[in-house]
Amino acid sequence: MIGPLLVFFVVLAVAGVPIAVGMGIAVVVTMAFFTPLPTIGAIQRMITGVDSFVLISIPFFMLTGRLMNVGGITTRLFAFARSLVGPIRGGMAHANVLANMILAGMSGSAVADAGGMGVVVIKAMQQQGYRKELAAAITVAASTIGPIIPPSIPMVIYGAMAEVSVGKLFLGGFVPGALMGLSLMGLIAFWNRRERLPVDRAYHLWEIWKAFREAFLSLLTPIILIGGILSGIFTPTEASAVAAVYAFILSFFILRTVKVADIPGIIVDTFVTTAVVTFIISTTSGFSYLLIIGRIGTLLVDSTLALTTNPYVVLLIINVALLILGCLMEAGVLLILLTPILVPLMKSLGVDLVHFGLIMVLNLMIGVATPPVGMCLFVVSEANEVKLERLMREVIPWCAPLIVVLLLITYMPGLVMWVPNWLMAGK
Amino acid sequence: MHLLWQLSDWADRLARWLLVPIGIGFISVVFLGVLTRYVFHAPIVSSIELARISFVWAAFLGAAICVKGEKHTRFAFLLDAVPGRGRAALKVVIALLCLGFFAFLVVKGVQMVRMVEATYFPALGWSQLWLYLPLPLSACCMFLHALAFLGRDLNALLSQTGQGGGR
Repeated sequence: MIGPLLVFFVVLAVAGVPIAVGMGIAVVVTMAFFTPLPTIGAIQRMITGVDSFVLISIPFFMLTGRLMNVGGITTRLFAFARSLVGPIRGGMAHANVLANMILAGMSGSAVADAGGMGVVVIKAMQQQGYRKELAAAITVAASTIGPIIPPSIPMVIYGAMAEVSVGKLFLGGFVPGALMGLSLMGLIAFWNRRERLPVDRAYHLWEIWKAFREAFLSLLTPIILIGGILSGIFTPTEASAVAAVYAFILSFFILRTVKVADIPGIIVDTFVTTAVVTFIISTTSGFSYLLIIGRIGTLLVDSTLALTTNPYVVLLIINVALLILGCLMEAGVLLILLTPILVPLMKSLGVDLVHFGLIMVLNLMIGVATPPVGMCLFVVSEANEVKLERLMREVIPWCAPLIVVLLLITYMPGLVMWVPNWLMAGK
Repeated sequence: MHLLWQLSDWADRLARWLLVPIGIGFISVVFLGVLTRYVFHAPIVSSIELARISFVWAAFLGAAICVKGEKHTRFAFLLDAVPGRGRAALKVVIALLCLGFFAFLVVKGVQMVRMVEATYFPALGWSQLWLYLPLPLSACCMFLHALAFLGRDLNALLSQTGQGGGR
């Protein structure tokens, strides 16, 4: 049963059928001809796949990111970051990374961050004398921090599919996200020896204060989100709704950058972007069900344990496989497809599922920045008129520090687990 | 052909027209749920069920709009690699497969709606059909889009075949 299911799906996907439709056809055909199950079960699975209170947070995080971009909040964040690290050589590049780290606390999507922040930052860097390709490459690499520092759409998807606390996953992202930012800043400092990077001017204290004041209300978003979840006031889903409503109040009533006429477009865009993910989740629900009754998880566990019982070796193999697959396939699709397959293996090896979730999400985020199929590369290349093939070459060294962080969090679980164990002990 | 596109455009307008109020309603319900629970200490018990129902509606209507905009994730390398007539033929096959799948969703979706009609949400007291209805409804829109794409791709294939035959 599993053989035909996988063969049908791969053939249809390679032929160019949309992933969600290909998955749906593979599930229905397998159910009809290779199992005694009624095909109406596929319909039921499609609904139950998206009927999840956890997944409800996805459009809210999308909406928050969209309002931040449309409302000009990203520009204010970049100005604030620039005022802090401007005087350092390569200051604008450092500000790019810092602004992405701050934005990561509000938005949960790397692609949204690359699209929103990219246009503002790349233009400013270019005006200061940076090569456009270098500015674009740093932006692409920095945007991958978005789904690591909470909130995070991939973590919500993983949490829903692996039945893991999204709150713990969010908290687990703080240290890896900070490490990603610091490692990129380290590479910028090193890069400065190779290619003398421009220096931004020094900012007076009152200018820093002014930039902080202008960014202050948007800087409250992560505090509302994480503070709300930690204090037990909100669930992650409720926190996402509060953050979206806060972003709306900010951009509509206070900054007045969003008009009534913009609202229908923003709503439609938000749900259309959400639907790209949820339609795949919907049809994959039947796929996961067939994998469970086909005992594919048990088969994978048995065959892996026959080779090795060392979790570190297994994690290394998974990391290499995910890095390769991440270069070839869209991160969200991989996350939805592989979570139900890999989670039983991790459970049997005694790997904490919060730790594994962070490994998986970080790994797949490197995939969105690496050629040939890197969504952030496409977005930044298109929005900033940077030749894709030149950007693909330029971005490769900037992925190296991200891979180092991936290895660090893989083999030092404490880097992930310390914050959730400290702040959510016993929850 | 013109009629197919008109039908597809009409279905797209319907999906967008439904999505805006449902989307706004969904956001309001979840936010009100938080507000009434934590601020007024008088939670609306049915808000979670309303949020679930409106999310499923928004997700499937959004999926239908994605079909119209051809925004669903797919691998394009084979399509890019196959030249001229082969590509046109492959596109026709893809459109046919999509059409078949969406037809299946409509037929089985309606059966599912009938099956769950007599079961009810515990807090709202509404029939479960409201949770399952968006699937066949959105699939209808998707079917119309796929039909229009099939017409377009068949036209492209026939025109290429005509050119090939003329040579």
